[in-house]
Amino acid sequence: MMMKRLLFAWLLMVLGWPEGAWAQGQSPGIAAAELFRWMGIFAAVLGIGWLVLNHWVLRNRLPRAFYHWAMLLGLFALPALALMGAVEFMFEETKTVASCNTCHVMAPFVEDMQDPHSATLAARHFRNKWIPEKQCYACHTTYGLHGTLAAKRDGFRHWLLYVTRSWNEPIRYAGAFPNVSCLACHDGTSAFQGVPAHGALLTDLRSDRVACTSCHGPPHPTPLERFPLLSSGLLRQATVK
Amino acid sequence: MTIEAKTDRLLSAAIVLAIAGLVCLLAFLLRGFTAWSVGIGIFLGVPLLLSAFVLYVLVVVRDLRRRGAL
Repeated sequence: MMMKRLLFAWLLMVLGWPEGAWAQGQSPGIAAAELFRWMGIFAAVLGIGWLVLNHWVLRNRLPRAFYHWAMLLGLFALPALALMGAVEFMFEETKTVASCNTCHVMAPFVEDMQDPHSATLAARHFRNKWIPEKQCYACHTTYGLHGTLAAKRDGFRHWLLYVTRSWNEPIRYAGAFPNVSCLACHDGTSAFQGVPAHGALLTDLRSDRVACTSCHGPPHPTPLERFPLLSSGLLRQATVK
Repeated sequence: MTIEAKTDRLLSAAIVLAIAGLVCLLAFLLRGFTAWSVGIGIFLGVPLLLSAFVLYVLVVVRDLRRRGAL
């Protein structure tokens, strides 16, 4: 009886009800990323075990037709499920600030954003909770739902530069920051429309002929400002080449 | 080497590739999002899994054709 109660209480906590079971600031229930992660782990472990058992242990004892159907499960269905779990876990996980901060090269940007005294755009949006969560992702994903081929290519290039430690410090943004990232939230608000310059420049702003950051910058610390952060002990790995 | 033995070896190779791919994915899923785990799990694991699928399909199709089933 006691075991049943404990099991029921644990299930309630895992499934996310009641909300009071979580400390303040934590999300109730299991996050999508965690759900996909566990689904992927379960499918991968099952797939490995299934393939080993089916092909090397039970192959001669199983009817041939059953063996082939079992192979379809082990080679297609379970890996597809594991792949789906891994890819969705990655998509969900890459939206978090913590995942951006796993690369040391991003640390000066994240540290500045979380600095309560910083005057950069990113820090002000973070401090005032204008973007309550996933702050990096909110401003830097103008490339579509899961990214264009060019975004994937750039992502792979950045990963390669990072793991081979062949990037140059201070890093510089090679692309152009589109105003739509700002206008998606600000355009049409009374605060935005109340500034006469916005009305006069609206066409130029919408067509990226004038950058929002030319008046409201800098969005992040400048390369010169990042140097002291880079030379600190914490960021020693991101050395200048 | 007989055709049956060759088919069997290719089938085993496809399974080994699939297991290697799944182990790589598992490393990523267990470790979480870091530079090395993304490299092993996604950039290595996914191509391994895809090559396992392709190899298995090619081997099975060739075997079925040889037996006159296709």
